[in-house]
Amino acid sequence: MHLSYYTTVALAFSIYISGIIAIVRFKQIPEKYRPFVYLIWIGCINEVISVYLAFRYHNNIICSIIYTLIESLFFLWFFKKLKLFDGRNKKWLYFLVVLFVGIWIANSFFTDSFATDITYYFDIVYAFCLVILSIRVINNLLFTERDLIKNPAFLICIGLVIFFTYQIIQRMFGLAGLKSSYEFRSNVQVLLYFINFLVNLIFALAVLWMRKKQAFTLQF
Amino acid sequence: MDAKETSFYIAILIVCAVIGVFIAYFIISIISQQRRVVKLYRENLLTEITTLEKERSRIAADLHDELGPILSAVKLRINSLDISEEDQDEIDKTNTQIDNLIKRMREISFDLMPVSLTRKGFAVALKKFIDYVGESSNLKINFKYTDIKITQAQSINLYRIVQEIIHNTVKHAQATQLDIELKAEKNMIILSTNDNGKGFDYDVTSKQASGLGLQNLLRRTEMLNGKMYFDSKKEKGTIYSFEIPIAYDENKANQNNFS
Repeated sequence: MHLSYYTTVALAFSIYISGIIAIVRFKQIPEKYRPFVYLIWIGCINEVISVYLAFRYHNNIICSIIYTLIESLFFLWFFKKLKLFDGRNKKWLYFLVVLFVGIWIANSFFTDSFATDITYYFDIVYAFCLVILSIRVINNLLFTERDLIKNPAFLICIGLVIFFTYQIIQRMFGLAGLKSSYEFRSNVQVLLYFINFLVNLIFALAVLWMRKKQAFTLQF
Repeated sequence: MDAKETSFYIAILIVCAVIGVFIAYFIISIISQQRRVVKLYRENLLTEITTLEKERSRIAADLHDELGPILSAVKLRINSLDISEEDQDEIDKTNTQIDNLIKRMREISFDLMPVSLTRKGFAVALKKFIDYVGESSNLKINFKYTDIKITQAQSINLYRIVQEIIHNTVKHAQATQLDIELKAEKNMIILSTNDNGKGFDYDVTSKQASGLGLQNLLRRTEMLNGKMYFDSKKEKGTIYSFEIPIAYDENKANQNNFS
């Protein structure tokens, strides 16, 4: 499966749909969704820098490595805002921050592939943690929300489950095929471009549904 | 890619497709399951609140229509007795006690289910309740409303919602002013209240015993298929807003008749 450079850029730039909606609707977006909105904007900037680096130096790996760390920490902040780390669960937040930063440093600086390849191990670990945290949020929402389809947190978490499940698979097969041809590895990567596009559309819908006026509901 | 890599790649595609189907099934099933639970929850709530209101209505009617006349008859009979001047003082005291008893009984009956609510509707009953609160507290209440055709179930639940808000404002908010507005907008009943009290933190209050009043508001709103919004800041008062679908249906109106 071969995709032209421009098609991959177009698929990656679909993040701009939610980025633009977030700019237009920023005043109506509640405080708890702000970390997600900031992350969307960082994602938009990252895409531009990645394209520039790829165009200028034919390598944007460094950009991707730094972005994944920022992304993982912003998602932890987002889950904190969704009250997932309240009370007794607060220690989990510190644990995950230390875990992410630790693995990222180990994977980035203490392997042979520094700045030449993706941080496979870090990507698998943080994707796994984000999927678990998303499922926890979805479970909580089942008992408090009445209309899940219109709930931004639900849509974001569904998007995260889809994207990061595929990221785990892709990185696993990427690792398994490290000694395979460049064509094979880029074909495995292509799958994630389409998933990324689908998830960006889900995120755009989530940003569209973010309302400052929040209805209060009873738990079942 | 060579033949080995191609077959490996096809295996990856199949794994991804299978996982995609699992995720899609997972999403669809949790949404449909949650909708079923919400429906069941609302039905249970409807049964619970309807039973409660029916029982309140019955007790209120018994107090108002049976005990009231009996007490009045007792008072009449006592006054018709031929008594000496010495006993007149005792009779006067008894008369005062019976009057107090009748007054208190009417108050309890009104609190349980105002006759005006079932006979004259929400606005009239609420005005009466506001007058009553005005006499017994320092709270000044402004009530603005437009005439909307609503079912009896809606009018009783809306009345209970406002009653709870007024009760909370008097008891906890230390407010001197409460504005209540009822209007119709885009097929929705909009009920909004705004006080100048001390405000509160929803997360803190909802976990305390005083959060029962809030839960009551939410249950009533849920039962009416509506939404409750509120905004409260320390020393800046509390604003409640309720959006209830009008959807007036004569059949439903008769079905949910509590009286």
